[in-house]
Order: sequence, then C-alpha cells, then structure tokens
Amino acid sequence: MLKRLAKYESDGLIDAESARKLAQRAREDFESGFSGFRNAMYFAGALLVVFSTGLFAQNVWDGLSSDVRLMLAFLPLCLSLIFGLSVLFGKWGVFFREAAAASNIAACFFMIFIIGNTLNIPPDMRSFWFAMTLMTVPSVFLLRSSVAAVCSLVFAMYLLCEYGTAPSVASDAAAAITAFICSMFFLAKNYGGFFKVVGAYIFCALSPFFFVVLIEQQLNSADGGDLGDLLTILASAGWGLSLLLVSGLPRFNGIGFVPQPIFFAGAITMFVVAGLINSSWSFDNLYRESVFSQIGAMFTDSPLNAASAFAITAVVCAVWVYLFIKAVRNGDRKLYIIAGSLMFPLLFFYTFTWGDRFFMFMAASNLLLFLCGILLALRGLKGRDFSMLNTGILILISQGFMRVFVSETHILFRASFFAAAGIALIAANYAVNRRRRNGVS
Amino acid sequence: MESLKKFLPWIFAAVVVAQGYIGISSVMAAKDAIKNGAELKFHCGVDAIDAWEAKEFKMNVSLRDIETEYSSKLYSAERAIRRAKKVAKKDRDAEIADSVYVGQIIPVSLRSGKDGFAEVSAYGDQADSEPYLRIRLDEIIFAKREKDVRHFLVAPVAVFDLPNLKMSFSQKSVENINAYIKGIPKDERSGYAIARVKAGKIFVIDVVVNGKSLSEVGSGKL
Repeated sequence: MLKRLAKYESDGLIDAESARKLAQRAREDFESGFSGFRNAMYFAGALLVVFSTGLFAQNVWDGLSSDVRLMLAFLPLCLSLIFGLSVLFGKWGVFFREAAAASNIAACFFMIFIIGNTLNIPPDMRSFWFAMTLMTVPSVFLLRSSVAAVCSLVFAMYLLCEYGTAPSVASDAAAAITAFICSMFFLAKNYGGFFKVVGAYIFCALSPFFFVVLIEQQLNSADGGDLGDLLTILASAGWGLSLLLVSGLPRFNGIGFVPQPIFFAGAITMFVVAGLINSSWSFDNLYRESVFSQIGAMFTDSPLNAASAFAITAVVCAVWVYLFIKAVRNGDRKLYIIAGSLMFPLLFFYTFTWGDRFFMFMAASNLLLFLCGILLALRGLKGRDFSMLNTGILILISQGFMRVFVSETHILFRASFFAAAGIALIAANYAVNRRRRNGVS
Repeated sequence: MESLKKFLPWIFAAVVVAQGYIGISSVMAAKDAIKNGAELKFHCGVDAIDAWEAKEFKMNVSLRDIETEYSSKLYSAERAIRRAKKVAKKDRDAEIADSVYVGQIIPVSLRSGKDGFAEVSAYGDQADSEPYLRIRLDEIIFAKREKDVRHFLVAPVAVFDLPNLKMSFSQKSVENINAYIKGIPKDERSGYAIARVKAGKIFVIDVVVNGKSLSEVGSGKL
C-alpha cells in the first residue's frame, strides 16, 4: 500500500493529508505485525550465543576445583535474580518478562546439573523433573510468563508420562499442576498471543496420552486388569479428535496467528519427532519406553490391532489433508506453505509404521527437513519475509543443533557452530529488518 | 491486587533465594553423606576409563543388582504377579513366567553383610535410622532354568537395580589407572566399590580391582 500511496496522491484519488495519515498507519501496522516473531528470533539467536559461551566455558571446566565449580553453579541464578528484579522494578514489557522467566528456568536447570555433575550425585530423574516443575511454576504468576507456563506444563506432563503409572506424591502433584496450568490457558483473557497458542496446542496434542496413563493407573489399581490395547486405541483416536475439535472452536480460530491450530500442533509434533529421530539414544529411551511406543507396538501385536491402528492413522491423515485444502482455499496461504512444508502427516505416519527402522527413518526425514529449511529461508530472503526466513533458519539450526549435539565432535567445534548459528540468526533478522524499513521509508 | 503488585519483585527475590536454598541444601546433604554415610561394599563391573569419560576424568561404576527373598508383599509387585497369572491363564499350557517385571522405585534399607558387602535388610518402608536408597524393584524371580529345565525357587526372589555411579579422578591418575586395568585380562577382572550411603544418597569413595584400590593406584602408591 505504501508503494501505491504516491501514485494515488498524484492521480488525485486522495489528498496529501490523507496520504500522510495512511502512510503513518501502514508503517505502524508493519512495525507491530511481526515484532513478536522478530523478537523471538533475536531471543533464539541470543540463546544460541549464550549456549556457545557455556560450551567454551566447559572447555576450561576440567581445570577448575570442585569448590569453584560449585560456586559457579549459583552464578546463573544470581544473574537471573538481577535480570528478573530489573524487569519487575522497571516494569519492562512482555518480551523481557518472558526472557526473565526463561533465564530463571535455565538458571535452575544449570544449578542442579552442575551440582549433580560436580559431586557425582546419581541421577534421580523423577526428583529432577519434580523439582524443575516446582521451581518453574512461581514464574508463571510472578512474571506473568507464558514461557514458564509452557515449561511447567511440559515438565509436569513428562513426569506423568514417565512415572505416572507408579503412584507417588510427585506424579499426583504433577497431575494437579498440569490441570491447573491448563485451566489457566483456557480461562485467562489477557494471556494473549503466541505463547498461549503454543501452550494450548501442546496441551491439546498431548493430553489424551496423559489421561490414558492416569485412567490406566486408576483401572489397574481397582481390578488389576490389562486394558492397554483398548486404551491406546482410545488415545490415538482422542489425539486426532482433540485436534479436530480445537481447530473447530471459534475461540481458537479467532487468535489470528494460526487460523487453523491443527497446523501448529503438527509443527510442534514435527519438532518433537525430529528431536527423537536424530538421536538413537533418545529414540530408544523416549520412543520405545514411552506411551507412543504402545501405539507403535500395536502393528505387530495382532492383525485386528494393526488394522485398527492403521485405520486411525489413515483417518487422522485424511482429516489433516481435508483441513489443509480447506484452509489453503480460504485463508492466508503463506502460513499453510510453512505448515504444509513441515511434512507433518508423513512424519506422523513414519513414526507409527517404520519407527523401528531407525536409519532409513532418520535419513529420509533429515533430507526432507533440510530441503524445507533451505527453501523457506531462500523464499523469506527473496520476499523479505521474517516468518518464512525464520522458520527456514529455525529448521536448519535445529537440524544442525541435533546432529552436532549427538555427535562427539570437539567441544570447541560445537561451541563455534552454536556461536555462528546464533550470530547468523541475529544478523539475518537484522538485515531483513533493515531492508524492510528501507522499503517502507 | 494492585497493592500485591508492589511486592512482586520481593516475592520473586524470595522465590529465587528458595531456589538457591534447594541447591545449597543438596550440596550440604551430598557432602554430609560423603563424610558421615555408612560405608558399604557393592559388587561392580570393571572397565577402563574410556575416551569420552576421560574428558571429564570420571569412571563409570556400574553396581550389580542386589537380591533378597521376596517376603514382604508389595502392592505393585502383587499387581504385576496377578497380571502375569492372568496372561498365563489365557495360554492354557503355560505356567507363570520365570520372572515378573515390576519396575517400581521403593525405599530399600541396607546393612553390612558377609565380608562387608551390602545386603537388603528391609524394603518397602523407609527407616531413617538405617542407611537406605530409593531404588527400582526390577523383577520377582520364581524359577531359574538350567539346560531348558525349569527349577522353581523355594521362595521367590526380589531383584533390585542399583544405580550407575561415577567417580572422579585427576587427569594424572587416569593414566595410571587405565594402565593397571588394561594390564588385567578382561575375564580375570573382579572388583567392588566402596560407597557411603545416607538418607537415600550413595557416593563411591573408592573402587578395588583385583585387590588394589584405584585411588592408590592412581596416586602411584601401588
């Protein structure tokens, strides 16, 4: 519109004052339109640089005495305290509140990690995730942080998924925290924006599995019966249904960032799956030992179960394709190019059918994701479009991150990679931002 | 609500202090267990310190499973046994499997038994007066096989998983230790770990391989 304003003015369609007002309004719309996403990408870039600094520090870590290491374990927590207090006293904006919450969570994680590593404390993952859940929850309220809400939700859900079948105070507390945080997402009116969407969709995508775990726990404690098969069928049906229902709810359709939430849930699932498949360790430990593997196991269990599972998978994929076509015809095509390129249905189908063939699965999905990343980044650069560029870069970095992280390359190489990736992310955003500003002015 | 907002920074500060206290208390508890814990011996596997671990100069100490007679009935174990019996009933000719997986973490009290090696004194209930660990009740064994012949045990045996531990060494001592361990053929290596146990925490303080303490081997005393 900005480009056309001068012509409209010279053609006499609008007067100079109107042209000035319209230009100002268009600039304001432009500034506000992508600021959240742009800030998030700057934040992601900064996080990579911080991570790389940590790796450089690890390089000299062996030379430090255990007392010095223990003191350094509390340094991130002190820094997060200073940052958090600055944000609260200075009444800084939403972005900084979220950043303060994220830094506090990261500081707690590193404190526990460094103490455990320095003193050789045997890992007790249930206590660890329980402690992380409890330490994350206060930031939800104190900093009004969606990042903290999403993190505590994910930690609590993981706790339930891994240890929910063994009754304990930790799993009961995790269930209560999960229910509480989830209800907040649905009830809060001013929570708003990107992070609410993320939290709500993680909940919608994962909740059926956790309900299954809880139901199975309850049923088993009553009669000791084995309802695994029936419940896994219900879980996969529930998963598809929840996405379908959420995408149909006007409340979620009105959010604006993603008019069809099913794509967003698909994107999240894709990243989780991509994380799992990139490491044989996590694949073995998280896929085979989790509730997800129960669904995979149905294919080899009996012909009837195989047919049921296949039918459910086919129905979910068909629903996805139907909604995808419908959305592309009616909505913002750009969003659907991003969502569609994530190959969610294909990865979803692979997870359920070919999960055991790790190498083929990994190679095929890596290739697909790499191509998607390149194409999106190039398109974003060409069209000066942040959302395309950042999605592409995010895919490429996540690919590199996972490959470099699971490999045993030298620590300095890994540190340099993360530093370069972080700087590239910040620089690319800065360059596109500048080009866009020049275009506007 | 508005007046509460004034206190938010101070509440946040208090929360961060509490988070720090969790860290400090875990350091204190660990140091206390290392200093004052009950000293017990545990059978363990012996491997040289590999390249990956050598970056941190840590040795993996895999403690072997610990067994005891399954005498005190546990809810989770009974549930697993009921399930196994139900499965066996479906298959007319099959009897209950040789063992049943339980996989629940429970408190297990330990005592010093024969030659100072750790023994299970009780499980299921946590007694603060005795050294205990929270470990996984892995399985209940009903029968063992010898050349495909099943021998039912007089009493079922409960098998507990002990954790994999780590022990730190200096870079210098790693060379001595690796030279010593690699000098012993793999099938002739035998060893045990000396660990301190207190209030659910366990720390290795030394590993003895074929009669020699690795701490002393590392320092060049042996």
